Amino acid sequence: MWAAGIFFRTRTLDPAARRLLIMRGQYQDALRVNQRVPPEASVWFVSPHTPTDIGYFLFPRRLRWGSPSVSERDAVRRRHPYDWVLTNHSSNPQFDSLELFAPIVQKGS
Amino acid sequence: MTTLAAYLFIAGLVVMGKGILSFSESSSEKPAGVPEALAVGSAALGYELFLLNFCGLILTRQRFLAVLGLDLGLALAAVRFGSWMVFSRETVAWITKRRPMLSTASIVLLFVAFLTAWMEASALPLYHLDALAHFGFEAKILFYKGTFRTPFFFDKTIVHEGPNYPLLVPYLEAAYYGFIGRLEDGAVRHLFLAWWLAWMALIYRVLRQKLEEDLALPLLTVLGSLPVFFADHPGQAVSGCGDVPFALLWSAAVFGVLRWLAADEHQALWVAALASLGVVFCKPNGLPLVVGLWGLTVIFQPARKRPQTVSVLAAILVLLSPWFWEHSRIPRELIEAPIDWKWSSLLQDLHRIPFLIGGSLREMFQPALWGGFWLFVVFSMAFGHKAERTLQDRLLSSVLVLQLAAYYAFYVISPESVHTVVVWTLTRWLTHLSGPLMVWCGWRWADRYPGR
Repeated sequence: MWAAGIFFRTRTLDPAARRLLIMRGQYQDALRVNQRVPPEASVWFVSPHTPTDIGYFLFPRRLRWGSPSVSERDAVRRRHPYDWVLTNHSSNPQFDSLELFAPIVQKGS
Repeated sequence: MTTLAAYLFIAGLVVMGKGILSFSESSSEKPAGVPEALAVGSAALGYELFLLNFCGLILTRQRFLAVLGLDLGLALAAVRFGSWMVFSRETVAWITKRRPMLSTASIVLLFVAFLTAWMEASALPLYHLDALAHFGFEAKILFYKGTFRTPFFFDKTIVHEGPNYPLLVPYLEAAYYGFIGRLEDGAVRHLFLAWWLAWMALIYRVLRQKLEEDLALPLLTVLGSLPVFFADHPGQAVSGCGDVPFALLWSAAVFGVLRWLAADEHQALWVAALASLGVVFCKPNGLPLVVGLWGLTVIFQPARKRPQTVSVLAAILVLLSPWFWEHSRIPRELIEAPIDWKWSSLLQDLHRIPFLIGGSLREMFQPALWGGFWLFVVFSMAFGHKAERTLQDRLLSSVLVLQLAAYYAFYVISPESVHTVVVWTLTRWLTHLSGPLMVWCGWRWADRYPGR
C-alpha cells in the first residue's frame, strides 16, 4: 500500500521534487549550501553525528571533518580561515538542521 | 527512458556473464541460467573496472562505453544462444499450464511482490542513508573522477563513510551512469530490482532440484514476500544498499559449490569461483565467508577433487590481490573506531552475548520486517528433523552455521553498542543467509514430499 501510494503520488513529479518529497528539509538545506559554496571549495563539518549523507549532495565540494562538538565551531573557523564551515545541530543523520558559515578571510582579499 | 537504459544495462551484464561461462560449458552439463549469468557478469564487470583503475586508466564517459562495448562484443561472440533462450517453448508452456490453487496463489503473490518493488524503484530516487552516504557517494566519485585514486578516498579528513570498503556496487552504479552519460540516481534502483529478481529465480531453480513445483513455489513465496524487502528500511530490495547484490552473489557461490560437490560440473565451479570474487569485492563480510565456504568444501569433498578446489581458491585470492593491496593503502575513516581483533578482547566482550541474543530475537520476530519467516524456519527444522543427511546437506548446514558464527563474532567484538549493531545491521545481514536458509528448509520438506 505504501509503495502504491508513493508511486501514484510521484508519477508526475520531476526527480528534484521526488527527492524533496522523501528527504524534505535536508535536501533543501543541501541545495542552499550548494548555491553559496563554489564547487572547488572545502567545507569543514562540525557535527555530533556520523555518518551523514550530506557529502553526497555537496560533491564535488570537499566536506571535511571539523569537530564532533558544535561548541568548537568558532575554533574550527579560526583554524581554517579560508574555508567554509557547516554545522549540524541535529542528532538525526538524515534530518539535519544545517547552518553555513562563510570563510573568515575571503580569497583574494 | 533511463529505466529502459537500466534494463538494457542489466541485459548486457547477463550477456557478459553468459559469455564468460560459455568457456566452461559442456554438452553433458545443464547450462547456467540467467540468474547465475547476472551474478557472474556483475562481479566480472565491477572487478574489471577496478583493475583498469588499478592500472592507472581514468574512466571517462567514452572509456566506460568502450569497455562495455568491448565486453559485450566478446561475450556475444562467445555465447551459444540456443542454450539459453529465455522465451523458449518450455517457458511458454510453463506459464500457460494449469496448476493447483496453491501454486497459482503463489505466482500471484510473487507478482504482487515484484510489482511492489518495481513501484518503489520507479517512484523515488536513492534515499536510504547507506545508499547515499556510502554506495551512492562512491559511485558519484567514480563516475565524475573516473578513478578511486582521488583525495575523496585517500584524504582522511574528507567525510566518507567507508573509504576502504569494497567497491563492486559503486563501480556498477558508475558504469550505468557512464552508459547513459549522466548521474541518474532514480533509475539506478532498477539495477537492484534486477538483482533481487535474479536472486529469487536462483533460489527457485535450486529448490526445484529436489522439490515439485507445487511445493517450491509456495516456499519461494515465503521468502519473496518478506516484508523487509518492501518496507521503508535499508534492507528493502531496491534501497540501493549492497545487501541484495551481496545476497545474490553469496547464494550463487554457495549453490555453485553444492552443485560441484554433487557432480563433476565444471561450470558450477566457475560460477562459484567468480561469484566468490564478487562476494569479496561487494562487502567486507565477504572475505571470511568465502574463505570459510571453500575451506569447508575442501573438507567435505572427495580427495580427488581437492586439488581443483584448492587451485580455484588460490586463483580467486591471486586475482583479488590488487584489491587487497589497494585496500591496505586506503586509510580508514578518521572517526571510525578500530576493531580490536585480539583473543583477550573477544573474551572480555563475551558478556555482550546475552544482550545480543535478546536484541536479535526482538529484531527477528518483528512482524513488520520478517513476518512469520523465523517461525517457518523453526517449524521446518522440527518437521524435517529426520531428513536424510546428504553430503550437500551437511555442507549447507555447516555454511549456515559458519555464517551465523562469523556475524555474531563480529557483533561481539564490534566497538559499537549492541543496540547500534543490531538495529543497523542485523536485519540486512540476515537477508544474506535467508536464501541458502530457505533452500535448507526446502530440503527438510523434500524428504517428506519427495519430488525428484
